[in-house]
Amino acid sequence: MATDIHTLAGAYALDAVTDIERAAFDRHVAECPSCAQELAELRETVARLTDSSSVAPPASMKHAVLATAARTRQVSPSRLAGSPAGRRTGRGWRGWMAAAAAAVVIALGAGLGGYAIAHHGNAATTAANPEIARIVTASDARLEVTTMPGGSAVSVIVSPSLNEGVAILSNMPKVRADQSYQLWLVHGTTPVSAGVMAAGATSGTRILTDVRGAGEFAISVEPAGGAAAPGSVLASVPI
Amino acid sequence: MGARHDPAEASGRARLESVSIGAPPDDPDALLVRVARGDERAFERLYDAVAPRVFGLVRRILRDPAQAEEVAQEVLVDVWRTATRFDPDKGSATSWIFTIAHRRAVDRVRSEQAGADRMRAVATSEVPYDDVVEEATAHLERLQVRRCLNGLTEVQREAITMAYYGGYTYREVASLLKVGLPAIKTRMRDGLIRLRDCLGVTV
Repeated sequence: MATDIHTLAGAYALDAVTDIERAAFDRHVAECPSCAQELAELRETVARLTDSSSVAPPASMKHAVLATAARTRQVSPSRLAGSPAGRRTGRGWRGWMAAAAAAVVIALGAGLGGYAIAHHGNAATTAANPEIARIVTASDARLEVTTMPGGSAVSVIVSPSLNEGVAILSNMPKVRADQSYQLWLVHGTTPVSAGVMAAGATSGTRILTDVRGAGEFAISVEPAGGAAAPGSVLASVPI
Repeated sequence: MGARHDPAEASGRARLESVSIGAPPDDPDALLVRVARGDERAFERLYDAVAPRVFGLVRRILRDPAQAEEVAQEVLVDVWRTATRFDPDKGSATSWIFTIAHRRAVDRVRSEQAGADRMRAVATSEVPYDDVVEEATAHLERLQVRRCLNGLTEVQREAITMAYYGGYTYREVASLLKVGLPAIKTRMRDGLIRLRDCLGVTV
């Protein structure tokens, strides 16, 4: 399992991973000193790729940066030492992502005793929902995440062997009280309804059945109660 | 009192001077350590040393100069703000700074292109990346980096340049290159290891 996640070292150093995979890999590196060494070397290597892209910034930028820095308080050194802070100042969904990372670690096969799926600020332990726990911990469970501007995120965990999955919608754009988000599994080009969210709801978790053979998971906004076929698809995730 | 203090101050000053003579004045590692102590002049020098590369990298990924300026500015202020968390034992200052820059730029790319559209476009190979690779390669000509990149297999090289300069995830790169996920992860890692050895990178 550990070696499996370790194959992400190159993609991680290149920043070609999702936030969730990054969290899983960070966890891995924290427990593996030789991996940390390799990662540090790969990161230095990647930094060299930047040597070639030097472009003089507009002169006004220097003044703006120095002036902003002069009135910006520096953070206190903390447990985050050594980890680049670039994304941690981020908005809404990142907090959710961090919480969801625990579930994802399982999906990536890093193995974990306790786990939780958390969304829109309310942690719902999978222990409270054995059905979700069963799907998320399946040996062939895979996770796909799509994020959208404004802090929306759609996560889908599917297990082909169980023929089931879990969809987590988080902070989706507001809909009218007489509208619902509807979930779809797309088989070939045919969308099959996979459930309808409560009218007006913008976050929630749904169990998906009959996922086998579906190539895509999609979400649309429909009149409350759902429609026979999707109107305009808001987001889709290949699964 | 004054007499007792003076020699100490003098020797303190002498030590500082010998440090600044010993280390290159614009060595980013030394500058960043001083920035972490709130030294604004060190920050200005660090800016001069890294801003062109930060701006260049961000602009290469984002393409749009106005957006690139905005993001590069955020990155550099973030360097000031979080310098206290830089740990010289874990890598160089430039690596730390460019990691922040790359992430910020990629964050912007990924949050702006609605996930669905981007994934679709990638799945059908509609995203032009050739010019990214070309542009990158052109700049690399005078550099050792280019020679070392040329030492990689084609897939290794493409995987690395697309991910880094294109801001793609490895999944997107796999889809663009029509290579399986495990293979693309291996290419990225093996490619970087080869590059590391060729460039003689040590930590």
